[in-house]
Amino acid sequence: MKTLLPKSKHSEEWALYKLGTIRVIGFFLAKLLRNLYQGVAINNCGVLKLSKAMSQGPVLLLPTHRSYADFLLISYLCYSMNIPLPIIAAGMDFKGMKFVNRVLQNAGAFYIRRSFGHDHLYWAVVSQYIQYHIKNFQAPIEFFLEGTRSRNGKSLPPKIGLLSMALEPYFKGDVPDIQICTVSISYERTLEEKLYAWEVLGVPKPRESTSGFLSAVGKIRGQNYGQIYVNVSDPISVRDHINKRNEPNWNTPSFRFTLNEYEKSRIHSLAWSMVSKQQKDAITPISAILMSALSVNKQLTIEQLVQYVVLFNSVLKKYGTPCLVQDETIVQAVKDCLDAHKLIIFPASDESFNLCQPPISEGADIQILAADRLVLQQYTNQILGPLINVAVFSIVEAKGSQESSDIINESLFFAKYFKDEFILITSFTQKDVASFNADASNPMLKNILGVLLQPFLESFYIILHIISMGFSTIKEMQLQYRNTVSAVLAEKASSFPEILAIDKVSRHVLNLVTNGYLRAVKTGNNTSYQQMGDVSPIVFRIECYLDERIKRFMASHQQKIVLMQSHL
Amino acid sequence: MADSSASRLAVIHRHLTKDSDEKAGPKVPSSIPKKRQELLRWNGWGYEDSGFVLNNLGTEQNPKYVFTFSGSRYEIASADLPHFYEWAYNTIGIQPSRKKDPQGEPSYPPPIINEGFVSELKNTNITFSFEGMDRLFRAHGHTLHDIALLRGGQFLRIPDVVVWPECHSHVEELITLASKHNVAIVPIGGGTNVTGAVDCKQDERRMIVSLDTSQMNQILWIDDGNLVAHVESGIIGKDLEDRLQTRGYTTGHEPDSYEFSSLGGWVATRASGMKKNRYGNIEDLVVALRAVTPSGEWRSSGTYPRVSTGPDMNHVMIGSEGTLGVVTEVTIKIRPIPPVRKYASFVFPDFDCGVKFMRQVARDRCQPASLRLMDNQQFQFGQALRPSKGPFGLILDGFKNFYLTRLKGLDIDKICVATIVMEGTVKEVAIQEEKLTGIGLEFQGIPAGEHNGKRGYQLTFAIAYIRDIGLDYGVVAESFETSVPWDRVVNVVNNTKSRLEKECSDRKFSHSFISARVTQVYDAGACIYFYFGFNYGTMTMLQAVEVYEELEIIARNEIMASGGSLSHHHGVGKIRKKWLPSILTSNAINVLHSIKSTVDPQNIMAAGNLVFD
Repeated sequence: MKTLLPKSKHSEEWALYKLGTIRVIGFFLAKLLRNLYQGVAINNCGVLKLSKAMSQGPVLLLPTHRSYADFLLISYLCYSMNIPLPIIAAGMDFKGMKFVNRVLQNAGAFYIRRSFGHDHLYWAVVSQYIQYHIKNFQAPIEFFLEGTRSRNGKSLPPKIGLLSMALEPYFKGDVPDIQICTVSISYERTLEEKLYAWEVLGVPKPRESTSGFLSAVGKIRGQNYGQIYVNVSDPISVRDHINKRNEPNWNTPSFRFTLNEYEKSRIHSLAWSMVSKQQKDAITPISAILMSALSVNKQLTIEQLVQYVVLFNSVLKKYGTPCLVQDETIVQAVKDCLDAHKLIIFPASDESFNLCQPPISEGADIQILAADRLVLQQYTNQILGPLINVAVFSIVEAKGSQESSDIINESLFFAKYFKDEFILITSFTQKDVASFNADASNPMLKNILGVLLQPFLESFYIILHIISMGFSTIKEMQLQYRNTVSAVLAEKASSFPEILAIDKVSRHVLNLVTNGYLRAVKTGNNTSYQQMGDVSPIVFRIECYLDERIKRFMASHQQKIVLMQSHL
Repeated sequence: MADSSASRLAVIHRHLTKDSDEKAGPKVPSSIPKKRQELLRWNGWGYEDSGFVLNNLGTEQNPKYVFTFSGSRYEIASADLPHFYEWAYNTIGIQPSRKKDPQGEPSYPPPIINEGFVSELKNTNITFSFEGMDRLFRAHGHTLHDIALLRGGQFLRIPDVVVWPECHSHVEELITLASKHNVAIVPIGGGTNVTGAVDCKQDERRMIVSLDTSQMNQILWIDDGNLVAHVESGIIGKDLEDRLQTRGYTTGHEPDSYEFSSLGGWVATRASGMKKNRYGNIEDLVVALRAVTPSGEWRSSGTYPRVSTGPDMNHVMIGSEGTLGVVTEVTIKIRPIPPVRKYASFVFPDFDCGVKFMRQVARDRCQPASLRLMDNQQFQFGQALRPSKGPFGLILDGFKNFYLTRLKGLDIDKICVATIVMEGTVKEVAIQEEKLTGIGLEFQGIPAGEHNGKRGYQLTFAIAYIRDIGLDYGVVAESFETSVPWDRVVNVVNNTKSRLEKECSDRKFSHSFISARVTQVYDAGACIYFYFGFNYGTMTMLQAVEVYEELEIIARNEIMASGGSLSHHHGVGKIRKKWLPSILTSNAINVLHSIKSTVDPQNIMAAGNLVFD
């Protein structure tokens, strides 16, 4: 039997408050933040509403997770804004870091395993712990709905476990209501940009360790990471969104409470709407626009870049949250941003800039190329995330569909298969199409969004091909995907080295399970997947948005595989 | 055949004449006259001569408002209430300039007459009345809705005739006549229900007979050996108590309405009295009962202490809310009057501590006769109702305040108060008091004296008058109750208050008042009583009542979602019918329907409560 709790001394996992520690962290954190960042912009009214909500009852703080800096930042903000420091559910991996783990713990963090779905005792202990804090509401409870740091700059599908744990006291009637504040944190430059790029390529994540942390701190010190933007949402009352059950539980004592199917499904949709809100509320960093513009146009002048910022801001105003710039200081803001990214954006001359992305040339290491592109994509995704529907509209229109019924029809297809990739993707209504026609008429904008979306379509296309050839586990699938994409890139059948990232494989597989094309079969610790339906209709539909080169390559590649299999 | 029916008639006749022989002495009259409007308020609660009054002691330019309580029936009427106006002004937004006087005597819908029934009724000894006010008085209970209609609306359907049977056989006669002529009967006792139980169904096209039990008010016999009394069901609680006390007994059944409500009404609604800890609820007190249903008599097999003869058939009638038959006679337990009654009270730093105290008392099974816990709002309200007797009153108040807040470190906006009634011998009471004080101290309680406890109970009866003065100044209010397992008590209170507070702020009410009281303790849980009212500002009263009803439904859903029951002792009536299908199994509902179709296939007992139409 495996150990039920990771350590017998439970106190090592749970949050402690030591004000002394908090002051010390506060001091050093303030120093470090000042050293790294140009500033932190916070919406004050959100913070005020949060502190008012704190006085009314339990509050959940659900921040986006893009960086280690996230929870340090939020604790520091609460500290400086006189809000009780949040109790933070942190991943067990942080516990491995000597000294730092104690520091985090003393600042209110507690450590839980990343997944403990079947360990009932562990589940019970953690939920008791969280629910104790909900019922006593001395401090906000903070955890990350996405479950992990998003390595690609856009929101991840939510994890439901902690949320349902935290909401259970409401359904049980232990508290009248629970309020939720989402916190969207965006960075002009993420500390971990390089690291993430390698991680999504499948290079294993280094174990969290204090020496690693210190050396990382050493490396990043003195660099400029630009601005941080924090957007705290208005408190959302769970009671306003989900009714409690009315029918009395005739003979179930309150301690045997379990959520029913209706409640589970409502929590599920609440989780989705919370990540959607996070994605929509995230203040777009200027770098996201600059990189998007540069990744398509390669070389632009400051004036052109400023124009792009203005252009994108006008669309983001409606579909997301625009950059925080004033007309008077916009040029300076763009310059500051370029300065923060001087490692990847080079001045081509005094006035114009380009990205340090050499074209795919013979002999260059495909991995390094992909990593560079993936750093870039972390920023461009912050445009594509909120504007995904406009992007879909653009490519459907570019394909030649002018009729709004055609566009709506195609949007249904994308909404179905890219839901886990793009949280905000929806199928369109007549009204949506009309508003896209009005708001997104600029051809440059449409072109950029179309190009940004392209690698995702190619990845999906390749994944579908691999599925149609049959596979069993995610690991095998990822391996096969890497091999295939390497071949694609070697043959120059794609101009997007970033498709080498394997993180989207599992998301697409889960989506295809939801849509009934695959079935998960669990054997011991392994989950393998069986094909349930023919994916060729999806392949057929996605094909018309793709470049001829990749279609040709995949067709011949498939023939080769079939031939090889017949030889075996 | 003819022979046997003739002899049967002779037997019946003998029984009837024997019955009247037994009651040789003159009947003791009820303290409430047949024409209730002569003593009681027709459009509000209680005695006509009693109630809150707002007086202006200053001048028109420089007003000084003071509340008093009129009449001389209640302790509270003996002095001015100098602090109450301030409370009413601040908490619920009463403005003397905005007085809303109720309408005068309304017009009455013409009665539906069943000629056959009426002409046969006239041939009996039973008195009856077609007078409008008699009919209107019996068309309602005391829900906010009922009172609002009396004050500024119109009942679309009221009973067509009122009948006053004087004994069991009169009821039999009436029900036989009603069955013969297909006439609907709605029994009424004190008419104090708060569930719409006697309200006429608007779609009832038959003649509706209001069967007023008030003239069946005799104590038929008292059995000193077995400590039971056999009493007619129409007796008013206060009369029953007064008459038993002259013989040295008490029933110990004391619901807040006992001055006006009747024994039969208690049985029909499953009433609960405030001293149930010592004496029991009505179902514990009833030893045997007799009732008339359209298909015949319903009675217990005897006055046995307990029987095991299948399901307890008394319980078909207990809680039947007038839908199956008319309870006519009840054998009820009585107890010798205890030599000592003592009051006590404790102040707790907050509601949680108070509930923990109550829970511990129940765990140790040392419940005094009555034990109640008032939340802070109700504590403040009670404080506002204190009289000041000369300058000493205030000084004493100031001192107490200082003692509690400074010396004991309590927050005056959080504290709550438990009030206690102990009964028994000197020794019993002393032991109880010691035990309770011990538990009180364990949960940070501070003994707050006998006087505070006593006043809490004295106010109980006067507080029922407060809604009428509220309606005079644009405030609608009502109470509702629930029973809850111990572990959900605090949650039910917090959730319901929080929910109503939010609904009020969403609706932008200028003032609202939500308060809760734990009024009964049981082994497995407690009864919670809520008071809720709001200032309805620019709405009309009838609109406000609609909003109120909407909010009460929301509150009830919240109560049930948090673990509370549909009702502890008010009953279902018509206002809580809609929840029954979700709390009873369809099996249980079918059983109720088959009982109904057995005892009353024609639906003569057409009150339309519970699951019945």
